[in-house]
Amino acid sequence: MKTALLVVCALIACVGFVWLPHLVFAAELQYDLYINQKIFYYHVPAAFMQFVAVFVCGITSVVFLSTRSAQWDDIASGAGDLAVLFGALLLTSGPIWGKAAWGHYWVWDARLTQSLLLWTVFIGYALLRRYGGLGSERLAAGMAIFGMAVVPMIYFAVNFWKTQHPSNSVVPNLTGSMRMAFWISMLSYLSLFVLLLAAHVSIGRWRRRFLSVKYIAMETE
Amino acid sequence: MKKTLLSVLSLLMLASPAVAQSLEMTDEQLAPYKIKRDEAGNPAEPTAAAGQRFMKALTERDAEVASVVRDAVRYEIQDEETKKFARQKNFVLIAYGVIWALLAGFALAMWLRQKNLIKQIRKFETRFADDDDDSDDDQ
Repeated sequence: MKTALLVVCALIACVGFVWLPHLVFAAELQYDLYINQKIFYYHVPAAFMQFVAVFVCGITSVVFLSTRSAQWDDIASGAGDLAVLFGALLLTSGPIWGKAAWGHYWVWDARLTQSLLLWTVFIGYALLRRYGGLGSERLAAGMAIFGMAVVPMIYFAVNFWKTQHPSNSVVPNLTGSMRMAFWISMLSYLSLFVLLLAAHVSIGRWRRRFLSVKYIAMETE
Repeated sequence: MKKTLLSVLSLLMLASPAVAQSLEMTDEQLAPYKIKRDEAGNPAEPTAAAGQRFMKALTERDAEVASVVRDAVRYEIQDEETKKFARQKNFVLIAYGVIWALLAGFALAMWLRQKNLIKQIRKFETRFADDDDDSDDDQ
């Protein structure tokens, strides 16, 4: 069942990412932003995947803290690394688009600043997992829960504050070819997320088992 | 595109004194081809409507001259669009390139991590196998 799901995700990701450039460039041209609007089809799905990664990390961290079951910690660790990855995609494609559309790589408006904050929180999470040693899992879980609380603020930042960033009404108002390109991109990104998470969790699990055996062997000696 | 058409036609109309002199048209003759405005001075019709009236009248008056004007406007628009595309496509290509480079970098990092893990496991297995051999020799 798990293997079948991963195979399906791999197929969807491969087909989606191969088909996507054609869909993106065949999509209608947005009048105001012109050709640089095409970055939207990679930038926004990356943002959503970061949010998904943060929520998965946060929720599994909550479950880990309550059950102390290592399998939830493995998933949280994988999702935390993916939050850093998709955050990097978001924070590189965004400024490039910003330079094209606004003439500036970066503006310190609410959404961009909070997105950068969220990314640094999860860089801290990843460093803690790597170098924190035994017992750092619980501290990292706390960080992940804090990060998860930031996501709604980022999403609604464009409503609460006057920002330069486009509003949340862009996606619901997409029509025709633009809507199709966007949702194929989202599906491809989601499939890629599942694959990367599964691979990361598998590596993390083996590493944990190996370290457990190593510590036991060292104690026995 | 409409803005460019309007700006070219507006330039023709704004230079109306010079144009009128060369085309022998008075301000009163050009008046129908200006944008209609309400009492507050705001446009009372779409911005392209005045230009379209002008082109219709010009076509009726002299189809060849109208055709020449249309070609000039079309060239201006195409030239502007081509330059805009050339300027902006680089941003799109760089953004896509960076995204794929980051994804490839992450996949490579995971692969290296797995390779390192396998190497440590093998090293550990070898060490255990040596320990077993040593204990067998002792016996």
